[in-house]
Amino acid sequence: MPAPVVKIENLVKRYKELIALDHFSLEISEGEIFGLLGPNGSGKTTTINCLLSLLSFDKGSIEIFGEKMSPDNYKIKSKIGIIMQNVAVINELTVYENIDYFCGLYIKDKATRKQYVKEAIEFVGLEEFVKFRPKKLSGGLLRRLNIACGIAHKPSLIILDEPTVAVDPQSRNKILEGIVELNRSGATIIYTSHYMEEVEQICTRIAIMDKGRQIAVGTKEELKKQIKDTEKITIEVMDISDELLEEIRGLEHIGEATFDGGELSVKCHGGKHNLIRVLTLLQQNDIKIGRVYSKQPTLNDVFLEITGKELRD
Amino acid sequence: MFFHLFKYELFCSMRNIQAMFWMLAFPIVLGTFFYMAFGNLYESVELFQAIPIAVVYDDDIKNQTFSETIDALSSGDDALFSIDNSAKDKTSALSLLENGDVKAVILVGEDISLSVKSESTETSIVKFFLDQYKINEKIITDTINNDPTKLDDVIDAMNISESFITERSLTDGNRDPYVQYFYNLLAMSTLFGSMAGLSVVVRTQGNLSDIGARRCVSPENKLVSITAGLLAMTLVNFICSTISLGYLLFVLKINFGAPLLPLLGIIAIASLTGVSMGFFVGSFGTMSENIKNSILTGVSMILCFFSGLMVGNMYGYVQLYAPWLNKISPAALITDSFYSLNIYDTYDRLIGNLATLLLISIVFIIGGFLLTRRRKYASL
Repeated sequence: MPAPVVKIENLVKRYKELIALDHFSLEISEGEIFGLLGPNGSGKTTTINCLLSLLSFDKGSIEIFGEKMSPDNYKIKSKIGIIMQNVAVINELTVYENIDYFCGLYIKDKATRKQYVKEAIEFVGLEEFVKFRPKKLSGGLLRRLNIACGIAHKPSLIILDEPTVAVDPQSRNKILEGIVELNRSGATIIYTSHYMEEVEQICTRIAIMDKGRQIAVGTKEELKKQIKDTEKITIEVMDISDELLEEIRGLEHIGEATFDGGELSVKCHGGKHNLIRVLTLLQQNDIKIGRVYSKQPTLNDVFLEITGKELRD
Repeated sequence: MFFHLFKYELFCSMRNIQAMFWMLAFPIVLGTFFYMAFGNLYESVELFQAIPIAVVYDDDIKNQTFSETIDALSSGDDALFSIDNSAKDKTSALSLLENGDVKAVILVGEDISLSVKSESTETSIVKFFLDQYKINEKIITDTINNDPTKLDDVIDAMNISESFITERSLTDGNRDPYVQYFYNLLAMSTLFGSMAGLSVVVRTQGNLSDIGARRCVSPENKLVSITAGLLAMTLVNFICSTISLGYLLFVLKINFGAPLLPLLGIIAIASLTGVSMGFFVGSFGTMSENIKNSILTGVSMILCFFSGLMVGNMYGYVQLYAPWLNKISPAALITDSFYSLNIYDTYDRLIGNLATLLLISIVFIIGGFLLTRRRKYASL
């Protein structure tokens, strides 16, 4: 089995009395888009900063590409691309110069660098803005520039720390599509966010953090299986008898069925074709049906069930 | 890597409007104000000016000899007197005296008399001239009356001015005391380069800026990146200060009393000192760039105050009461370097000042390097 790209073991980081990371462990394999999900202050950025050897830590170990990470390990650093939470570009340089500047920290050959910079500009769609200074760019374009500066040197491991904060939906979609494309081209991605929809959309595996601890890890399907209610069905009906409600509750994988305000709500615990079985039963009892909704559990539901609070609390 | 970073550090600095204001525009504007305030003060106050006088001749008695003598003394670049020809008679001449337009009125009749409003060095000079003239006139008249054959010998003897004192100037430089304000101005200009030095450390430290954090996670060698940054900023500081010097020399025509090349040498070392000072101060603590900028501006201004930027003889007071400050203050050392180059024929004092500036720069740079060595941060 190949060594994981990133291996964090028992990481502890304290800020005086506050424990920012509490025996946090993680393994990320090559080719993954790994999502680090958690509410603000859960320790995502601290984890990234420790991973990059920017922050000292009190206990634990970090290996990247099978080697111990340290501030002087230039070999590892040359394979990493970082897109910071805050836009880290130089206001006095143009879009092109910014990308060239940061790419030049990794790529010495001028011709190669020129090609890489051109590709990065195309990748983030900033061709029309190459001579613009950052202050003249919108928030979304600025984020794209931030990304271009982090990935121009074609790193094997790309770390994106909340890259879509304060970004318009159009730019957000462009960024998310770009991340998937980078992954397709061979890069392993670590993506931190408190936007669960984004993480659900692009990540192949997810770790949920809270208070510096890893509270769950797995694919989104695996995570959703960890909670009791796997599906919530809502059906508009005129009226329903208590006997029929009891009959619905008796169906396999159905946990709870309630009728209130013309809506039948059914919570399911696993199983397949729950909606069809409920609808069939209603039809057999000549119940007139209005609109029908079936809602799959979200990562927020997972978080809610494990911690008792919402992700965005 | 080095030239890549050097090039972009140059771009960043030269496009930084705030830095350019302090390093280039501010010294030029202040220099212009200084020029307007002090530019002609030396010539009008310190240098000898021809004494304005009025001469009134009695129409009946034309004293041709006196007239020729006074005309001779009133002509040329180094004229002793400046004759106001508007006075046609005694009344108008005395009116000029009363109004202060002339310092003395000479009335030439049978006798030559002098009228002054008040005693001063200038009126004493006029009186001395008149006394000397009368003595010589009497000698010549007596010689003509007693032994006219000796007249030529007497006149020759009068023309021989025997002096036992040889005037030797200690310097070929400009002795205008107000030029020191412009020395201080250049000292301030180079010390404002500390802001550029600060930007080097801010852009390389992960705990001071996001750009610093991004650079810290890259494989760049910190020693190389800081060296490139410091050299680029020193070059920018040197260029800005050289432009300020050029403005003072060639636009305002300030006489620095020294050739251009040694002046540029002082500016080069002073530029390094300014940048290294910013680098060192920037390496301390995690205060924001704005706070550190304010500290550096304040320190530069205080040092320049004590070297005489605002009060001309402050350098002398400091030399009297706290001479150690003049020996370690970069502003005082830079100012004194310009002064030494202007005034002294020997270079001992200049070399001493420049060596001290270099030593200070080296201490600042090494100190800054030690504080910014690659490391992990406890917090960001």
